[in-house]
Amino acid sequence: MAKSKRKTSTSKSAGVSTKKKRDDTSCAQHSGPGFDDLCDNTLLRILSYTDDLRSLVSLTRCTSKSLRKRFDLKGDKNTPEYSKLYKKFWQGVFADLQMTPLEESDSETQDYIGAINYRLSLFNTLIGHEKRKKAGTNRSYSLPLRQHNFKSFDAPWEYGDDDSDGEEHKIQCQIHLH
Amino acid sequence: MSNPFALMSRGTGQEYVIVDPDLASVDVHSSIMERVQCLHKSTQMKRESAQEADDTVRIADVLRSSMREGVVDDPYQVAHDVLEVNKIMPSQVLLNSYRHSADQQIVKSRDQTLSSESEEGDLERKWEEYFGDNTPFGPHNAPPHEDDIRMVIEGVSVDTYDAMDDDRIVLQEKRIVVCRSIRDQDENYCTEYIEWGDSGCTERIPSKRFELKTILRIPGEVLFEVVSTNGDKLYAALEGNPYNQSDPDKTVYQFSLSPNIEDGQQYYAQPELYFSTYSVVTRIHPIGCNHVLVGTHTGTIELWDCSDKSALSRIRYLHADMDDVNLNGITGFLLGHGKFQNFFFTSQENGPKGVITMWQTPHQSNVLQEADFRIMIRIKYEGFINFASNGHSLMVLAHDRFGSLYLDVYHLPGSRYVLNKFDDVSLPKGVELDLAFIHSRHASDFYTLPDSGASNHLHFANRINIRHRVDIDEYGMAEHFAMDMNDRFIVIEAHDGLVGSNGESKSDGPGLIIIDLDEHAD
Repeated sequence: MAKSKRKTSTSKSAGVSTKKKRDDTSCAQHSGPGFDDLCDNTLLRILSYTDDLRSLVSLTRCTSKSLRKRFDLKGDKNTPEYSKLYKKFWQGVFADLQMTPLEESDSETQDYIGAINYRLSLFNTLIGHEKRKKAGTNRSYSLPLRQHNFKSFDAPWEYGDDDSDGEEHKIQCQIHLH
Repeated sequence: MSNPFALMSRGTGQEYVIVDPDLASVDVHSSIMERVQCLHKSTQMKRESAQEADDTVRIADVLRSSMREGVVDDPYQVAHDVLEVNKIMPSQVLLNSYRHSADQQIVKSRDQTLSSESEEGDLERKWEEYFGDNTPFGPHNAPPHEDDIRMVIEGVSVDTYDAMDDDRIVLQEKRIVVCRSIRDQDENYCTEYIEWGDSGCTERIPSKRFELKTILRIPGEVLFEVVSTNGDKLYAALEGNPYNQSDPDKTVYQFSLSPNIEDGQQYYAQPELYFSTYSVVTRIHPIGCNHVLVGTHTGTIELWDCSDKSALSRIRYLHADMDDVNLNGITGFLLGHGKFQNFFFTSQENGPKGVITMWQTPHQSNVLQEADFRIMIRIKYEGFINFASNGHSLMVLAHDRFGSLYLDVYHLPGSRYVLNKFDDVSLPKGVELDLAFIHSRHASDFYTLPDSGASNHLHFANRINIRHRVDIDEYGMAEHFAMDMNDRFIVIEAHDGLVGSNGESKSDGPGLIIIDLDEHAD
């Protein structure tokens, strides 16, 4: 996703026109303060007003090289404040997306952007977002057969009769002592 | 707690816990995708050939090393031994046999016969523990009839609870596994809950070992139970009247699940507190730390505050409108996850028909006393089976009149961020989404959060064909299927193996249907 985000942002730059972006860059270089000059707290405060994830990724990754570095996981390891900002910011986004803590299965590094990307791709697969977008329809799309699996139980399982409410099946193991 | 399996992770992990009824054991396994059969033929063939190649290399390695050592082994025996080692083994066995004891010393397989004197003595001790003179079933006049003792493991559940920092970011996730079993002798029933907990999974460092925490025994059968959100209490509605209440059908009991593993303890506990509802209890669910939602057979929902044991209070009384459909009582609860739990779902059923109701408060609040839950959306199904959630989505397992299973996906409200523009996906046949409650009564209060463009209500997102068929009885009803899900896997119980849309069984015997959302997993 990071790649595609980057691509998108260079052309659209989170909804800001190319001309406007050029102006911002020149502004940061020559006259008043730009995003790069803001302290961490102010920057985080501004970003907290954004509720569009795509814009958030674009702002932190594509506005300028130095800004990207401040939010980058692979920054200079001797300057821990970079990783601190990264963690503070992306961990918050991760939590706001109601995602559970990172797991081994998410990615090899403590990469919140990677994990957000991975989990959102799973979510988009579930809802068939890309297929619907591609086909331009509003119908449902099932998952391909290769994503369906069956695991048979090793042990013989017995299912008991319905209980009084008729809604639950018990797995029974009747063991007599002799 | 009738699920025979449960996923351990709410994220993308593959770990799961499962009941093995043959050995009466509860096992933790590290990968749900281990030894699964893919429905896509060429993918399955690829997997099989990769597995065969792997096995061949392993057998060759063993033969080579034995030849180097000058030992000549029978190659067939070597192959057998290697493949035997390669069988699926649990990463941890939580409960090994029906003859477990509190200190987890066990254990005999059921095939073994009692031979030694010590084993017979052990058996006597176990009987004494559950039904002896010092239990609620004693004293006895007659000696024990050990032949009549029977055990049923009814299922397992996994609950996770979070440790958060000041910004309410989850730092640590703790998991508990609770197993419910019933022992009976003659007319005496003992329902036993065994709880194992881990030390907590911090970021990227999952805890793999579970330790025995608590044993709770209740002298009777339990109709419904639920573990509190922080794992230290159990709320239950009981069959019969073991604690001599005036209105047992309408009584909810709270038991402590605090660690209590000590030698010689009986583990039978008195309820910490109990309260009576207006109608017969049909479902219980915890909400917040000390609150509990109780559904009744008249379709009402009561919200109880149990924080003060001396002054329990019913803080809300909600009534689901039932004038349009002749529905039975509340059969299920489902809560939203995340920082704010400002909504929950209930299900009601009438034969194959089911209605899911979304209850929501206009304003996000952590104070449940101030919560003003109102009906926001109702979803009506012609063939309803079960529902589940992974925090982002609501999943409804449904069937059509031919018995084909479908999984309907809905966006849940709550995320602060706008992820995708919500597609206007057409509703499938037999499903009715009733937004009238939003449009009529509370539109000004609800539709959007003041500081967010994110949607604050439910959207239908997709219907997935499970490619499995179930039997429909003469009333148009299907069996109940347990299901669980996390961000990556959807797991559904298949009682009769995998049955295709043409009614032919593709795979015999019970098992699990597993949908892996990772498209690039192979």
